[in-house]
Amino acid sequence: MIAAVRNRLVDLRAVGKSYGNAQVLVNVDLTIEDGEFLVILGPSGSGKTTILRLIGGFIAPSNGEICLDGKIINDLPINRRPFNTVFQDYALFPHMTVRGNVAYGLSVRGMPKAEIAARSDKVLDLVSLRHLDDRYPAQLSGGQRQRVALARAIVCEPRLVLLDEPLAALDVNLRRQMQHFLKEVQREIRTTFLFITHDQEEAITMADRICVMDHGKIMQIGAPRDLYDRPGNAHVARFFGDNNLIEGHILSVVEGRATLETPLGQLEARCDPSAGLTPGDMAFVTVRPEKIRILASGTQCPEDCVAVTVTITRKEFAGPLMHLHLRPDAAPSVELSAKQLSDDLAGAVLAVSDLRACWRVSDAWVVRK
Amino acid sequence: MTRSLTVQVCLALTTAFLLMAIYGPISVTVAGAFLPMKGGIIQGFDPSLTAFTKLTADAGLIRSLVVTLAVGAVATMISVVLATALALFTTERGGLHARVVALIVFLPFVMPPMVTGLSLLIFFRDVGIDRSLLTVTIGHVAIILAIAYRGIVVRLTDLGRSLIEASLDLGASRWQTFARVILPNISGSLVASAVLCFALSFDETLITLLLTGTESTFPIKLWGMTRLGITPAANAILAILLAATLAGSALAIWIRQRRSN
Amino acid sequence: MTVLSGLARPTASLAVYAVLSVLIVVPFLSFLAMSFFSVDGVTIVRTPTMVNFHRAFTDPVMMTVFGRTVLLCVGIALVTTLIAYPVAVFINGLQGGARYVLLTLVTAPLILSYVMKIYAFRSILGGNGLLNRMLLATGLIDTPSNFFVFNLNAVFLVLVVLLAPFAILPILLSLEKIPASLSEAAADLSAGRWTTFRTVTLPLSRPGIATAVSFTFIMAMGDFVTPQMVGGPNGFTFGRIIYSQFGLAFNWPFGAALGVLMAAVIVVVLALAMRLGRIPGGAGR
Repeated sequence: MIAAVRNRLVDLRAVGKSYGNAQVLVNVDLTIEDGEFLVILGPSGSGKTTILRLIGGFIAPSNGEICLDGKIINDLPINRRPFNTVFQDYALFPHMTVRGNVAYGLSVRGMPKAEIAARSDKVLDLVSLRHLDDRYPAQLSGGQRQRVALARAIVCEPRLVLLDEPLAALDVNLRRQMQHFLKEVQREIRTTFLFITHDQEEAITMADRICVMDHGKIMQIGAPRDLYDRPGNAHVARFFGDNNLIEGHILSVVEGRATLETPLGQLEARCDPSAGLTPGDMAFVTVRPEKIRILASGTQCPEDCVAVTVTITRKEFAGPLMHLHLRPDAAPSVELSAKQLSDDLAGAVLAVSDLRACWRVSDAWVVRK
Repeated sequence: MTRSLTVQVCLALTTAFLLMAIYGPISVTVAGAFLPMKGGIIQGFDPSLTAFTKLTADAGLIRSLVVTLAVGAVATMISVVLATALALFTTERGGLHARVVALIVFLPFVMPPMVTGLSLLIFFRDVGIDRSLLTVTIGHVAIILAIAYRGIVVRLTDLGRSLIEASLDLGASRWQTFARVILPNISGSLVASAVLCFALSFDETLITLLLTGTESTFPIKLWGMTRLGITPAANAILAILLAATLAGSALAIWIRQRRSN
Repeated sequence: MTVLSGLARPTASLAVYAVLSVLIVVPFLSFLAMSFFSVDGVTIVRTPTMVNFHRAFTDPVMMTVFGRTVLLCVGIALVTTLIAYPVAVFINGLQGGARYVLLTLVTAPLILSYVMKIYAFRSILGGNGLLNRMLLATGLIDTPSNFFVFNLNAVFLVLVVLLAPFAILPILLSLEKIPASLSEAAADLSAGRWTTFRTVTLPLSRPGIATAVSFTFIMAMGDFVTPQMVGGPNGFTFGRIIYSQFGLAFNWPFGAALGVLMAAVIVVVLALAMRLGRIPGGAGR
């Protein structure tokens, strides 16, 4: 499916932020597109929250420009930016009811009471909290407070909704529900969402695009599938889901295919033609564990495949999948992992050694070291 | 972990002794409201309420009470408003500003009232302000400001930045944020601080002695009386004060118990 | 956080510091300045001189009284804290209603008249006062004792009783902060009750103790009403001397210099208290 063509909403140009000697953000260039659900993913300390706070106006950048519709808004104060935030601790006003909280952004603008009531009703219906509108935050559950915080943010019809790890405090089941819910709401009201999280699964589930951050720098931006299948660097390759990285150096690059010399012998894999990989560069061959099949020693591998003789060192049952840890005979120091459906392996008496691990060359991807 | 009986008894006894020592003179004072006293020594057992009726006739004493209440009210209002402004300033700025302001605010409170009082006395003289109720009020503000400040700062810090940021994020102006979000949430602290400030101002003696002009507050009046002998009317006022305080505390405790049930 | 943006920021700063200066900083500076001036009859001569400090340090009476006052106040601070601690421990061990009642009993007297309490004490401690009559009645003494009549002992006793609530509160506050789980942990590790108190409770209540001692000391030092009322001619404290400089003796610069001296001692005590009142490991105040 071709992604819809979107307009630029917010730009960050060469934005940096430092506190004293500590540089929290380094030369960040980011474009947020109108109508998208953009997720910024990274561990704590990666700078993702800083970006959100810079856009919201809670802190000022040390250098660079923040633009809205192409116009610089660095000096625009918080209360004049057409963005609304869902805070990590929800920040609900404890002395106001649910309705009071939701109506706040409208009432401070001097909107007529009838209109405030109408808009609040609509949004409360959207989050299914209309029947609790006279309760106080202290009387609500975590999930309900979350929805109030969301309702309060979207009722003002902002150009951009900033969500600061809003699901972090919820338990797993509730979190999954809320993920679907947020996605649906975003589709329905067609507002741009900027969502911050450290949870990969969450990012993959919800995002139109993901921006992976590490130590204040953007590692890669792209659709979840792109980041998963074609990571741009070793960090993203490792960070996103489980992956096998086999180190080696490049022997040749021909039209999107590269050959590397590795401890497992010569391996061929696909690569990004525009990544500028040249012979002699140190790189990794990456293969997702679910792409590796285990075959008995005599079995022939399909065409255009790589086969490595391995011994299984450990088997882990993980529900639907079985994790297998493999040790190649040719290079005992390299550890590979494979994931197979538990059903496929159930009942089969599996020998532990002298097996062949097999994957298609088109499933392997080269990433610079 | 439970305490041994002997330890508990010892602690209880110490507390009992201290309370006896504290309430000894207080009981003598209260007794003086009902029994005839001369030079502070009870003359005989002849309880009467004449002291209370004489109270209404003692114009000087009544006037000093009114003055004390007025000074207390004004000083409290100024202190609470000033403390709120300062607290907002320091909790937003943080860092060096917060520490400098806190240091200056606590200075008059931490120094003996005498030093603070003398500083103001000298200052007023240099500037040419005569001693009067105005100087007394300013003196009171200097001392009680720290109390109000501390109470409000603690509450503001507990409140955290989130609420203020959320209010601004939703488009409210600074003033709207203060009136609609901050104020309602610190009102409890404001009231508690105000009560404490008023109580301190009401009984303030040391600074008032140094800064007072022709008008006397109640403590000054009492001070003057100590030479000639404290009138039963004064005893009566104090008996009333004690009763009011204990009643007020009892009420507060009762409300608290009600709420927690 | 940009609550105050644009011009509001420096204006607010200016306003805050202006008010604080006028109310507090400038008066203190005037006070300091005054200590360097001198008197000529009834006029204050505003040329800087060290004569006041010189007199303060060389006049034997000044130094004796100063030393005596400091010693007295240290004694008061220590004794008061010593009595306050067990009371605070007792209150801390109570729950619910009893706790509030006792707390009220301890703090209510603070609201009642300062002057009145001392006055009442004066009569109680007098030759014919309640104390003597009680002691005579129980047969502990044969003739009325003058131990507490118009001297420093009286000042000592009165101040200890008066300042006790001020010492109890900070100690109680720091005791309350100690989580119950800590003494449970100590017991779990087989520490006896006294050991737990000595090694866990006492060290963790250090900030409270430091506050109690320093505050009591400061309040005792600065009090000139109590010595005036129950001290008599034998109970002259430094505070009274300072007070008289602004009254009958009319030597404001000298009084200011003595005040500066007192303030200096207090600053030293405060600094010491802050130092010693820290819990090793830096746990919060």
